[in-house]
Amino acid sequence: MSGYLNDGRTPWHLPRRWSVGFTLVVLLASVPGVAGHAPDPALTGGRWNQNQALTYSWRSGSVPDPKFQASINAAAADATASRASQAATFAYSSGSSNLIGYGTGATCSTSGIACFSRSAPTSFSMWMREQGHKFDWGSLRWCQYYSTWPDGCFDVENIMLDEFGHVEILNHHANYSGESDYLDALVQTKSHAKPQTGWNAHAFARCDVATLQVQYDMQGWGAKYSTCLDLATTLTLGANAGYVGYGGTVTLTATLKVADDPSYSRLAANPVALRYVTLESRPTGGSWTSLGTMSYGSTSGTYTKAVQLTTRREFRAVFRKPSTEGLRASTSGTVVVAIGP
Amino acid sequence: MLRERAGQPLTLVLTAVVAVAVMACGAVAPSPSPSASPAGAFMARPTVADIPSTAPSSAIATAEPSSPTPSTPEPPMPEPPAAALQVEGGDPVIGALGGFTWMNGGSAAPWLPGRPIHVGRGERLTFALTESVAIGSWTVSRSPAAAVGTDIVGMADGTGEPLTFDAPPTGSWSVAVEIRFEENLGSAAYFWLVTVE
Repeated sequence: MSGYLNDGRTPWHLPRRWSVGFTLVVLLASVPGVAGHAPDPALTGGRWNQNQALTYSWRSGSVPDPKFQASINAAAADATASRASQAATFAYSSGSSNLIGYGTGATCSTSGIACFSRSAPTSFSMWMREQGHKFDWGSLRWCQYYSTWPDGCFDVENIMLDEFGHVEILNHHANYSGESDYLDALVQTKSHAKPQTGWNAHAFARCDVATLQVQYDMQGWGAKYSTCLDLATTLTLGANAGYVGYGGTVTLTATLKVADDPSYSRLAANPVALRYVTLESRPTGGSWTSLGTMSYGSTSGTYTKAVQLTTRREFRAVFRKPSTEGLRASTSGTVVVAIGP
Repeated sequence: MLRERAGQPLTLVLTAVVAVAVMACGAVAPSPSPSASPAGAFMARPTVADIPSTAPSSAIATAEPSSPTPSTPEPPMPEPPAAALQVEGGDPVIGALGGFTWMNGGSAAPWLPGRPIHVGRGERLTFALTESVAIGSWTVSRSPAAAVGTDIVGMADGTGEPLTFDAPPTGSWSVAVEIRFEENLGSAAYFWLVTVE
């Protein structure tokens, strides 16, 4: 865990009065689930600062046509809107030293239609080849050049979003050999033209987002983790008392976190808030039954439920694997609350 | 691994092939054989006319000619090593470099037709980089030469070397070898127009 997350909540601390007799048991989920294909690899060369506001301007003498400018600006907005993390943001600003150029001066490779270079956290640059550029594989057609987009044209917004993704830190997604998973990432080794799969995608896809989350952290503790991730979670459970009087009430508090795994980089040990955590109970040696969903606690990633007791009970908290994000299930250890004098 | 020819180190062979390829690029971009013509929907072959099938919008009708020379030319972007494909006893053929990332830079490119290479049915193809850079994971896939970038079929995948795979079925194929370099140096796609006889 690192960096400031913007939900305004404070780190989790136990009230001192609960510290005595408070039982914490951690059980790591051990199911090696496969949530999807792997996140994009990250480029070497370092990261930008979290939420760093990157600006760019047009390269003097190589200014893109206004219609291309609009699509490049749209791509920058797409990157900012779909990063789902604290990755850098992009916006045009006249006079910025990060230059985007268009035309014959492009430094792209022989077959390259667009290209980038990055030097985080200080600068980047991007280029677009000119409309009609002759490659040995054909003639470059940018869709936005035409009033009706022909097959075989490349969508400027899609291609430049790919370049903004590289500038962030994303390397090309590693597809299956048949590319059945092409839509798992926008940042791809092989650019697609109209009407190939994904040719006009205008948002980072789940395996792009996964890497941006790992590299730059979440926008908030309640934000969803990319389904391209497969993160273990830890769930702990504690009670505010080891015993209560007959008919008394005990308050149980569960804490859900991303596992503290160094490979998770900035996501390690993140509190996981605003999820469904259920409390289960049983008599000693009996079967578990659900007591329902726990309420959100006052600090991020905590969940609470008050229970009235007339007999000794065992409790555990359960977080089931969500279908909409890349977190694994976890179950807390057992907490026993007795009936006392 | 590529084999050394009789008394001739492989590196010399590859160097010669690279030199020829570079010279060819400097003069006229190499053209695939007629059968390699990317008649697929996704590529427009350069022609004298090269008139778009759809008229440009009036708002940017003058966009194409406006390709001004930049005021401060930049040096060319560093590229990953070239790569060669070879069958046993055959000459290595340098592939066409497609999209890549390398040393904090990179280029976007589509699926390319690739450089021509003729192989026999059932032959084993061996891929090798021309420089000493370790290969991480890799995939090999093919697309019909007549419609490059469509009907993609996975042929092989793996990790490290040797990077070998069986020739595709009889016909003409654009074959892509996609490499992930070790030590997180980047990734690259290389293409060959493989005619299997």
